[in-house]
Amino acid sequence: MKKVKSDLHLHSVLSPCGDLLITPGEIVKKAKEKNIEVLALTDHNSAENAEVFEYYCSENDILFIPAMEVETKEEIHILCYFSDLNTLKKWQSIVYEHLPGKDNDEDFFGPQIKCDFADEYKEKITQMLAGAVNLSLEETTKKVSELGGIAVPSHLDRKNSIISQLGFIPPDLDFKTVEISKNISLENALKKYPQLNNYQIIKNSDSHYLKDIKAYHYLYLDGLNFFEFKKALKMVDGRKIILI
Amino acid sequence: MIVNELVAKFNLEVVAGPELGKEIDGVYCGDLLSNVMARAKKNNLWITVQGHQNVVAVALLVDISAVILVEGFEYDEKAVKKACDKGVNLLRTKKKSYTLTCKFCESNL
Repeated sequence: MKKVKSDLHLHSVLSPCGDLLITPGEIVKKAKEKNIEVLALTDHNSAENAEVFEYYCSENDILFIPAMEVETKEEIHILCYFSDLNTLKKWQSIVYEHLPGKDNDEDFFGPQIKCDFADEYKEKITQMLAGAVNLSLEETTKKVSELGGIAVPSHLDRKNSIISQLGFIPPDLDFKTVEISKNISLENALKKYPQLNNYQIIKNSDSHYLKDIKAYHYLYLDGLNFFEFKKALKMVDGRKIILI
Repeated sequence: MIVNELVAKFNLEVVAGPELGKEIDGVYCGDLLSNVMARAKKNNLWITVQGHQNVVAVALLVDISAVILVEGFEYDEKAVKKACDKGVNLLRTKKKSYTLTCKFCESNL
């Protein structure tokens, strides 16, 4: 079993709240400096930068996990991970069908930039990506699972989480791993939300700025691939996540 | 006032009404369930746009007299089933929170 540093919650210039310097190529460069070996780019309700991100990951021998952070109609943020880029694109088209269909207000939210393979700005996505899509928490997790993906609820100690919006995690949802933010210690999180004792806990950088990129956990895997990654999130066959 | 009287007076739709004889004491408005859990009081009416099944659990925990889903939002199927099983009243209206609360205010609720 191998122990690798990983960061599974990151935003690029595509997220309206992302800094203008946080391009796919620069994210990978920074992660490489920090000895991170597994990366997931989780832009809000979109994966327009995933293909370029995959290119930079493969150039740098980093395991690329196709991903997105979706906001459900209850205004809950959910991290979604998939086995390959095509499946992520399928998921993106489902999400796009359920977007509010408004244009982005760039002055208010910030620009949504898609990059090219040279890591340069290619185009702006005009459709508003911020905000909730018209899919419930249950519909979201069901559809992700039908695509062979895996869902992890984001930053449970913060706003826009299952706990802030719904009070507690509905027990009939099949989460094995849940995320807490980097701003809370594991000890305090468990004290404040005793329900979290039933789950494996992950922490990520949730970076919107390059300087914030850092590993907050190790993945214990037997080989670097999506299926090993999925096992770690499901705590199967000794694969697991340990906080740093 | 009891829930049954409220339903008749304000023309509310009863989606689940297992305990319509419950007494009403005050009103709480909120869509963040974590906040409702902390702030709402026993026998309050609870006005919200959340139709998730967790609404029923929170209503039980606080002992809400009835949940009122506003603006034409729909309850999840599981929420309705749980409410019937556990004795939680689920009401519904197309009116906005503000309009409804103003009417409640006029009636000294």
